Order: sequence, then structure tokens, then C-alpha cells
Amino acid sequence: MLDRIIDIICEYGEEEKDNITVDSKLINDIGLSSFDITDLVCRFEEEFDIEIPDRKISTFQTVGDIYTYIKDNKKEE
Amino acid sequence: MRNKQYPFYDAGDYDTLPEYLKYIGEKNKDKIAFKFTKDKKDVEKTYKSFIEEINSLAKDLFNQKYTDKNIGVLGENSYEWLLAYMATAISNNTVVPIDKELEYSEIENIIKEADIELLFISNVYDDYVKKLKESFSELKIIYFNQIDSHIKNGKKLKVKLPKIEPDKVSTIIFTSGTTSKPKGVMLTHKNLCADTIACQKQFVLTGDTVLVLPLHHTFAFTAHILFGLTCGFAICIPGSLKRIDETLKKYKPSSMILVPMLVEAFLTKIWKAVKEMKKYNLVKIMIVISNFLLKIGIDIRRVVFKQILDSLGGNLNLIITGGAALEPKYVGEFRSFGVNVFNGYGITECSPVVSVNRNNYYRDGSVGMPLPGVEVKIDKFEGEEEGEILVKSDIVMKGYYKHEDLTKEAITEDGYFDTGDIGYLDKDGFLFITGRKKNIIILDNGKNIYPEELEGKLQLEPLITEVVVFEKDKKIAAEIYPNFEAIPEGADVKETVQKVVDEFNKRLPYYKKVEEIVIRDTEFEKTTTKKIKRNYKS
Repeated sequence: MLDRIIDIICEYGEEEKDNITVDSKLINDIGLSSFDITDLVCRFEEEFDIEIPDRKISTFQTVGDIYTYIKDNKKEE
Repeated sequence: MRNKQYPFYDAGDYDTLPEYLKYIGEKNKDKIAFKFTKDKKDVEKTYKSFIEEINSLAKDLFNQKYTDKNIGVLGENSYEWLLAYMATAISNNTVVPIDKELEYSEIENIIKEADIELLFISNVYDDYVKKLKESFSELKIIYFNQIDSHIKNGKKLKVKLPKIEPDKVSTIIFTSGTTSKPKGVMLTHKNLCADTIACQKQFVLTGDTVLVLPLHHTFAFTAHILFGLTCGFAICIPGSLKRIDETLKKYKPSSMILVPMLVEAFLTKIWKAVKEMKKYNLVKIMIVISNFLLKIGIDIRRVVFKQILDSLGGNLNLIITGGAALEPKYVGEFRSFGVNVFNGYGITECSPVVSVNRNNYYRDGSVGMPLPGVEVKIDKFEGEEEGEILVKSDIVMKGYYKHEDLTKEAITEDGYFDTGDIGYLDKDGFLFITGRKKNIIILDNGKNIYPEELEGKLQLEPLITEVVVFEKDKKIAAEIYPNFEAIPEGADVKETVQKVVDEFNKRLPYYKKVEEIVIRDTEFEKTTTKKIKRNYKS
């Protein structure tokens, strides 16, 4: 799942996939804007069939924050 | 001829929000004022029903002895947010809009300092209510989803709402809640009405709009709501800012009111889509041809760039921006596609719009001409054309809530408000902003960051001795002099401090997060009064 998350993030950011880790900061390391992150959240909702509330979006700082949220909230298959 | 001064547009004559509502009601009657979705159903509200619902809710509040009180509103953008705001103001109360992205402790601080007795709160923020009730036993709560029943109650009441004086404070806006005595800007009914009337004379919208800026932001409230409703079009309120593309396609706005960050984001998205369709070179060539034809009076933009315009709903032809500086290249790019972007300037203390470019009279790179009735004076630096921007007008605030000292500092004896911004007026009277005197970082999303606020909090961290917060590449950075003695022996200093800042960031809303740190080995140079000398210029 982490790999897929990073793949999607790569479509928006300026950083190469190999340089992105769970600790990468969405804004400072990957170069995303808050608008990009809102857009990304929509992609993750579709990709992983979850709903991420608007309120939650501003708490995502790193790739790991997104990964943890999706992992914890994804419906059991 | 285009781009020459022309007569002002017609405007209303009102001094208070009840008079304003009467004006828009009579002007626009059964036209649609708002479109939104509720419980997954599309809803439309006419001007008439909007005003009736406000009046009923106001009567309910007045009947519950809420008059001359301070009432808060906290929540995401919604029709209910607007009802709560307006009903509060027209029942002779003062409304305190609260930024939902503030930390909980800041929200609590604002409620305390603003003497809020009743809080309208969105159900999304239900988790705050229990904590608030523990801290403020007297605080009354009305959830957004209870507003309907209050309207129903109000409809049955035969009470007459009190007459409101133009000088009555209609709203107090807190730009931050961190300090022990946060600064609240008091705007009167007259202030808001004068700014709305002046906007009406200067500018017109071209059609329906989509609300994307947060309503607690004065720019969104005055420019988008108060001014927008005078134009008689519908304001579409998306339930979420996610899937903005779908929202634009659904509501097909003609005009948008944005901050520069969103203008940039829309353009980035357009170019990304163009590249994906492998049409980048073609579009670039078409821009050159189209711009040439435009110069000789042939406008093919909406035909040639239809696909691009369709991604923004298809009808967009006007964007007004404010809240931060806008790079002229974005104005040019959007204009090439057939969308005019006009920048304006404002500050909360001036209700907030001070100037804006006009539909058919504009100067790129400027923030337009001061609105009619707004006197802008440049207190020039010696030997220079630029200087401090001072404003005198009915749009200037009454003062800072419970901060008479600060009010006296901000408004001169002859009534000029010192904006803290630096700029000049060109020979035709267009205002250009060149810098800031006050130590505020303005990010391109329009958010104002007070470095001292973040510095004060960071300095509470045991590992940080001194810190200076500044802007770097449109982001917030901090230069830190760590408490070296507290850092474990052998530990990497930057890494250790970074962890502290990461934890600190988790408690902050997006726009306040410190994105980069720089570690210094020595203390900061100080002034004679032992204040850190700031070398960073925003």
C-alpha cells in the first residue's frame, strides 16, 4: 500500500520516487501545495475506498501520516 | 474604449445590515441567492427566502434575550454559517467568526477574550463542545443542524427586532488567538456597508460564483457574500473543497473570488492536463496567435481554448484576487485563455477591501485604484515616491476590542489608519504594493502569519533558546539557536531539534507549520533593548 501511495504522490510532486520515504514532508520535501494535498486526498479516497474528512486533511504532514491514516481506516476486505 | 476610466456602477444606499438585506431583497427578490447540497440533495434558496430565514432566526435569538451580546460562529462554509452570522448581526448582537483551523486552545482563548455567550457550531466540530462546556459553564451552544428548528420558532414570534445604529459593532475578527490578549478588529455595520457600496461602484461580477475561501476571512465575507449578493447572482457553496473540478463543472461559475495560491494552483492543473494531452506546444502557439488577433479586435479565446475553459466549468471569465500579492504572469496566462484576473488590496481593519482593479480599467501589477470614498495617502519616505499606505474612510474599523492603546497607535488623530504596508500611487492613481513595515508574513494563500506568535510558542520548548521565524520561498522557516546543554551528548543537533519542531507542527494548522529549520551556533544579535535584530525581509 505504501508503494502505491508514493506512486500517486509522485504524480503531484517534484521529487523522484526513490527519494520519497515515510518521513518525507509533503510540502517541504516533495514540494506539494495545500491544494495538491486536497487533490491527493481525493485520489486516495478513490484508490483505497475510504473517506477522509476535510478536517483531517490539514493534519497530514508526512507520507507516513497519510499511510498510517489509510492503513487504520481502510475497510477490511 | 477599453482600459480607460469610466463612470462608477450604480450602488445601493444602506448603513446597516438590516438595510442592506432590505436592499438586496428588493433588488433580487425571487432570484436564486444560494445553491448547495444538503443530505445529498441539491438545494436552492432565493434571496427572499434567505432574508426571511435570517429574520426568523434573528427573532428567535432576540426572544431568547440575545441582544447586545457577543455570539461566535465556528464551522465549515455553509448556508447555516451565513444564517447564523446575519441573524446575529441584525438582532443587535456582535458576531465573532472563528477560524475553524485554529488550535483548540486558541479557539477557547478567543471565546474567553471575546466574551462570547452563545456559539453557533457546526456538527463536524462536536468534539469541541464537551470541552468548551467544561471550560465555560455559561456558554450556550446552537449546532448548525438545530438552526432550522430555531427558524421555525422565530417564524411564529410576533417580536419586533431592535433598530440598529450604523456605529454598532457588527463583528469582531480575531486574526490570531495565541497571545494572552488576542487582537480583535471591531467592524461596525457602517464599515461593512460602506465597503460593500464602494465595491459595488467599482466593480461588477459577471455571473454565478463558487465559494471556496473560508467565510471567517473578511475578504470572503465582504467581497464574496456582501458584495456578491448585490450583483444578484447565485453563490454556490460546495460541501467540501475536495473534488473542486467536479464542483466547478457542476455549478459552472462565471466569476470566482480567490487568493493567489488558488489562481496558481488552477493554472498548474491546466498546464498539467495540457501536457498529458500532449498539446503543450499547440496551446503555446495558439496563445501567440490568439493574443495577436485580440490586439486587432478579434477574440477567439473562448472557442480555441474551450477544452481548457470547460475544465473550469466552461463559463469562467472573471477572477478577483486579494489577500496576498499576485504574480503578474498568472494574470497574463489566464487572460490568454479568456479569463480576466483582477487583483485587489485589503486589510481586515479596513473591512477589508481598499482598492481593486475595475472590469474595464486596470493596470497589471497594481492592486487597482482606491475604491470611491476611500482616501489613500502615501506617507512618502524622504526623497522617494513610495511610503507607508494610510487609509481614511468609513471603511476603517472602530478599533481593537478591549485594546484602546493599540487602536490609538493604529489610527492617527486625523483619522488615518496606518496599514503597515508600503507602496506608491502611479500618475493615474493606481496603487502598487511594494513591501511591509509590520512584521507579518503574508503567504500566497492569503493567510497572515505573525512570526512572534510562533516564536513565542517555540521558545517554550526546552531545547530551543532563541528563534526567529521568517518567510522563505513562500513557506515558513525558523532559524533556531538551540539549548545545546539540553541536547543529549553525541546526538545530531539538527535532527534532535527537527523532531521537536515536527511535534510542534502537529499542533498547528497547515498554514502555520514551520517547514524548514536552520540551526545557528551563536546567539542572535540584539538591539539595545535586547530584542533580536531581524534581518529577514518578507
